[in-house]
Amino acid sequence: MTTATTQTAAATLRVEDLRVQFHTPRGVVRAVDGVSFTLRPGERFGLVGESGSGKSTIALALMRLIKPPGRIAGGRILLEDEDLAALPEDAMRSVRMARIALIPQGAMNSLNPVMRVKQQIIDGILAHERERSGSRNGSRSKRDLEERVAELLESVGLRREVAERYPHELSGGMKQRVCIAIAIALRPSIIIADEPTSALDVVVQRQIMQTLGAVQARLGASVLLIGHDMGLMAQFVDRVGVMYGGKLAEIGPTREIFAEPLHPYTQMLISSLPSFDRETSFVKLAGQPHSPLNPPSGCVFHPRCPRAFEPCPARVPVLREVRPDRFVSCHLYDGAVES
Amino acid sequence: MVAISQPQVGRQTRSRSATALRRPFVRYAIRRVGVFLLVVWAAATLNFFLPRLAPGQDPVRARLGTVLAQGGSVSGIEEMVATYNEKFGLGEPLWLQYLRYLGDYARFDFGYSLASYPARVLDLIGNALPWTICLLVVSTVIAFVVGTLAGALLGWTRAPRWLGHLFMPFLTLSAIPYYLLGLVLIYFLAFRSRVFPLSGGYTVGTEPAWSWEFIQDAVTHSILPALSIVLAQLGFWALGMRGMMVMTEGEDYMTFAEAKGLPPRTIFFRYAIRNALLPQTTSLALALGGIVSQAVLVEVVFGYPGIGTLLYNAIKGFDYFLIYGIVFLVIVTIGLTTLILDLVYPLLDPRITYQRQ
Repeated sequence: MTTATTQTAAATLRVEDLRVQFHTPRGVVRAVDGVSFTLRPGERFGLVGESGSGKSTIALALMRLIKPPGRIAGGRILLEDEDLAALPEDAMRSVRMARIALIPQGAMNSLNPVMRVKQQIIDGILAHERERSGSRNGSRSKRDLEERVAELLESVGLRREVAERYPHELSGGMKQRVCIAIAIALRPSIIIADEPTSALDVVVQRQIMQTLGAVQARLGASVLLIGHDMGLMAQFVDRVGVMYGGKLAEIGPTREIFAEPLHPYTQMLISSLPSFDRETSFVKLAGQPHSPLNPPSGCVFHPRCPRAFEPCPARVPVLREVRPDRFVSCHLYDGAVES
Repeated sequence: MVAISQPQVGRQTRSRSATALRRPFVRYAIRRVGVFLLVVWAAATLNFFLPRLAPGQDPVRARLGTVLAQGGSVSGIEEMVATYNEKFGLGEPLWLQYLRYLGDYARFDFGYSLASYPARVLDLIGNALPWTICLLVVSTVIAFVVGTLAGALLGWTRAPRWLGHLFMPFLTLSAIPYYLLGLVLIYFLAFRSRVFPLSGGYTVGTEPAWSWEFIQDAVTHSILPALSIVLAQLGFWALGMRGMMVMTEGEDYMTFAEAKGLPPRTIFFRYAIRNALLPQTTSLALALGGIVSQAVLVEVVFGYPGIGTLLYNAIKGFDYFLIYGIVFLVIVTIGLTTLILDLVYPLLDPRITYQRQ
């Protein structure tokens, strides 16, 4: 039997059956409900979905930054065979930035307004290198650190003088570049970019994505790009996972998914994109996402699904590999499973 | 060509930015000091004209009236009034009085006290001010430091659970005025159990001196009034800081700081407190500026020989010149603390600049 847990052998990060729940006064919200995927070495993997689909929650869960009332309720996050979900907080702290780095969503407010850019890069570096070397001063002098900061800034297309600036003196794009510089400072094997361009205009968006691509290629890191922009995904990622209602609907190579989407939700998403080829009128996604407190039975997408049939309200579909490297969670493909 | 011109460009921009950094500050400081002087002048002018605009106010007659009521001589009142009016310059035209007044106040010469005549107002204030400053500045600063730290911990989600129980006591304390708290403290700690002296700044009969015994005596006397101020203000600082911490914790840069794997102590002090403290600083400056006016009630309750008691007695005894002097002092302290705050604030928050927008 082929399931999502055995997607490929080589994986930098393997997420298995991840569950994140928020305990609210009105009930439990299953923001991420049994999500499994792998991040291959050097790969660019994208997670798309509409607001509330759980994609940003996944980013925070991988960093173990879910705050109460939310918590990781189950599943494993395997980074080189080490389960991050089970790691003590102290050990997890040394993983952040050093092995998994985050490029945050709110580029405008992600830097401390009262600290110089330089200090905000150095404090991250020192927090980890002190820990590793055990001494307060670490191995490097102030001059070495400042040179390293300057190199980092230059590697993301900023001038080295930016080190002395305060965040409010920088533009949105420059701030996001500083965040990228911080993310790559310790040469992590995984970079999670949580809608890194959502606060920026399209021209700057493109430049930021090019910068991200360049630093990723140089580090050889894997990138998990989270976003809602299918166009951006199509340009940037190798494989894409489509999320709906806290679950993965479909995973596959970006080209193949755009050429032939299998899941009805993915089909709706892609047909909603404006196109130069098709002269059809704009197709909008029918219906509203369900209330997270009260998910529908069976497949969570079935109330909006144009192709729903008998098993959909009754049974929860399982993510299966229906073609080589194509994973779908839909009853339409129940018969097509390769065994 | 490029290689030669580049270092020059670098040097030019650096020297330009160095002077540009200094010049706006000087210009700003001069302008700000000018505003301060304007405020003081306007306040002094109001201080001069308002009492004189009030109908039927004649301090000399009022004062002589009390003397007469106590059984003084009845004859020659008009001559006495004329003499005093001349002595205090009250017979001169208003504009001349005003100019003289401004000249005197500019030299901090507030004239003589009416109630305790040969004493000069400045000397009376000078004797009382150190007591007030020691008591109120010290207790305000203690309340600020302790309250702010407690508030920071109250608003910090990773602080120990038991700290949460401090919230209600702080809320209650902040609602009780300190003179009331002072009375309760006097009743239990001075009247019932006699741990601390009932009132005063030092034991009656001793002379203020810089001796170890006297300082010890003065400190013992100041503990209860200080405690009432600290306890009453603690809640104010703690609640304000807690609110700011809760807001700060929701900021994106807090999440990003955690994503950098920084130790909790660094995040607490350099990210959370550092940002949450900014509005608290403004409150501290205003609180310190208002100290002289705050002092009245607590000092009267504890019979403390500071500015508050002096003002209270001056009002009771219609000692106009003393009242003017103290009110002027209140205005100057408030103006001065806000001036200092405005000059220092850009150092605390780099987003505020000296440059005009």
